[in-house]
Amino acid sequence: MDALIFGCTRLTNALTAALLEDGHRLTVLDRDADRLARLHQERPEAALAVLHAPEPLMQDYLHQGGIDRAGAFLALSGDDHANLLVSQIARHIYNIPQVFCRLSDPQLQQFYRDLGLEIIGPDTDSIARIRQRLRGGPAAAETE
Amino acid sequence: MFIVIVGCSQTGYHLARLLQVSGHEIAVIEQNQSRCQLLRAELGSVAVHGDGTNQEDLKRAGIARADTVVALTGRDETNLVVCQLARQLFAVARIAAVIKDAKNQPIFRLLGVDLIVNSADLILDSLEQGIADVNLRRRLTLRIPNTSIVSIAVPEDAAAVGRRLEELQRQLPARSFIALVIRKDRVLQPAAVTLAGGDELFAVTVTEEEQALYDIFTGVD
Repeated sequence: MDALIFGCTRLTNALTAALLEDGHRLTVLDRDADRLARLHQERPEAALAVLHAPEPLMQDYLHQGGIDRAGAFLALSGDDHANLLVSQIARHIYNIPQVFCRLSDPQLQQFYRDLGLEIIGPDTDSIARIRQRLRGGPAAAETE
Repeated sequence: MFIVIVGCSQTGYHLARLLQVSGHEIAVIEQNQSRCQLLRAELGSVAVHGDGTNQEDLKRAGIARADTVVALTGRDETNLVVCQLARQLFAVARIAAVIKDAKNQPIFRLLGVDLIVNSADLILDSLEQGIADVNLRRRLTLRIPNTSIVSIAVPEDAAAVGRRLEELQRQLPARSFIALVIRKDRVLQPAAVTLAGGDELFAVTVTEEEQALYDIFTGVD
């Protein structure tokens, strides 16, 4: 399927490798041209397009990246609030069936998960796990 | 009324002042420590140092009993988070936000923000009114992406003057049409109109088609 990815981060790099392997066509959008160039160099496949957007939040760029025909939208940038704005646009305005939003703030993660958004990132489970370990608890907490 | 303002730059400060003067109770949340101290000196203890997207900081500002929340952080994306927290977690009755990008208006509206003020449009409107020869004005940004209602003033010497509007409608770009015509103090239905100089046309259009639309009604041949 066609997937639009907002933000060219390390997570993006790792994920594009896996998704390309599964035969998806990807477009990655970021304000940093260097990062995009590096990704493109790393993965010169025809199924991966990069789109330089000096103002990545502008909806014109989302449009240019094919948001109106994407089957999946992934907001992976390091900016929680930007990720939230674009993924909610993808979900509510373009009705994209699969939307993933990366958030690093555990409080926001909980709030938006409750609103039905698919959240990725370190979450409260990680906190519980770290706490458990530092208390000297069993590693089994990981599988809880 | 109790009003919480999140993000207190110039606009926020003046709004806070104005509301205080007219007898409202206010609280402002400002993330910048030194700015917040300044505000405290000017506005009193109502200035809270904190992050308006953090639930504890919002609570400290008293959001739980707020009648209205105004999101004024200067970043559209942050304002959206503020508005959603205020509505969903604290059930604030009235929520307002100032946005910079007009195209974000639909998502703010869809997610329940009651009042959306688009700062760029306000500035453009004022500038347009002061600058001659601006014949196309964006009047209303609709909920549908890229779509808006614009008005076009037909110049006296335009090639379209004297033509039947019904005929011109067929030559318009695919997603544009004239919805109504204002001639002096009267509102006319487009079907029966023969264009005259000075007519003001209200059209539904999309961003990409604005230029073509403009050219059809203002072009001189």
